[in-house]
Amino acid sequence: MAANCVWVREQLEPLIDGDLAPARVDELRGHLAACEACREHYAEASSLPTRLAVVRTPEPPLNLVRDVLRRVRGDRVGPMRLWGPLGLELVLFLITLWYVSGFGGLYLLVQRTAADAGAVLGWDLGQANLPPPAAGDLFLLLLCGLLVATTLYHLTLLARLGLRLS
Amino acid sequence: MSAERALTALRAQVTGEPAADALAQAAQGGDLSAFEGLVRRYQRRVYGLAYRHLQDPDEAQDLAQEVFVRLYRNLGKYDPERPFEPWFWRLAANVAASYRRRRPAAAVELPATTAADAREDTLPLERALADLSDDLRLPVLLHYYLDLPLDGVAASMGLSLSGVKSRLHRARAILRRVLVDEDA
Repeated sequence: MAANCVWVREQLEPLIDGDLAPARVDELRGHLAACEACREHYAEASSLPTRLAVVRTPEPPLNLVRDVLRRVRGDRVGPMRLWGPLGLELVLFLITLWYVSGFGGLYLLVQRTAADAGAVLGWDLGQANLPPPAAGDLFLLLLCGLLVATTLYHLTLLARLGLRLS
Repeated sequence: MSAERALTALRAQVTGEPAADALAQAAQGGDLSAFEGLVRRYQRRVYGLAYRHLQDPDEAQDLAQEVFVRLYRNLGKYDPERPFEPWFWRLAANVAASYRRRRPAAAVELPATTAADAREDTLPLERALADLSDDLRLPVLLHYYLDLPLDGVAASMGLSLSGVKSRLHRARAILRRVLVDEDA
């Protein structure tokens, strides 16, 4: 094979795709007109895109559709599952509000939290005994924990639905 | 674009099947049977892409499933004003390009009959295609088999347009040489 043939065959795909300058095209066409071996390569290269478009593939498995639908059904979120947590969130929020009972309650909560924090700090420094946890504070902590968990679960559901809600 | 849509609508009238755009729109509204219609319509081509890309029936099924599940999850992003197919093939290409094999190639165990039959029964072009490296085979499949435009292939694979062209040229040159040698 002549060195020129090597060079020509490297240019065949760009030639077929029309990516070469006219002068280069003329040069290649001149060579192809005279070289039978390179013409064979050119013919093969020309037919390749069409043959690749109809390349044979095996039949899809019979259970493909069924498996896809099973996975998709697992993804589906019904209205009860979607909006149910909102009721629980509302109840928890109302109980928290009732417990805290307005600005007075909030002030009391902050005051007690500060006192507890001071006592814990004093205990850490060896200046005081550890205060017993107030039952009311534990209840509030539990409420807040439940509210956060429910809200996170709800947000996960909404995020999974994504833009389909809009 | 409108000519393409008109052609799709005409094809749907002739075959009596609902147009893909209509199915996609219904599926977007939560109609699961419309979504099933889309899966049935495209399963052969999606599985074909997956099989040619991964060369393994189990992995191909896994990838094909992934394409359709991602379709379902992304239906909200489909713009009904535009034709469905280009959007869908773009999504399929993205999933195929980002799909990672669960097992290393060497550990894949094909049933003896399937592996042997596949090798003996395949045409030279299919064998040559299978022997291409992954980074050359995927753009070939996306552009020629799925008919995805070059910019779509580039976006799916995170390559520049010239990078895609270069890979396609290299891949076709390899295939061409193998086929000429087979003929000789």
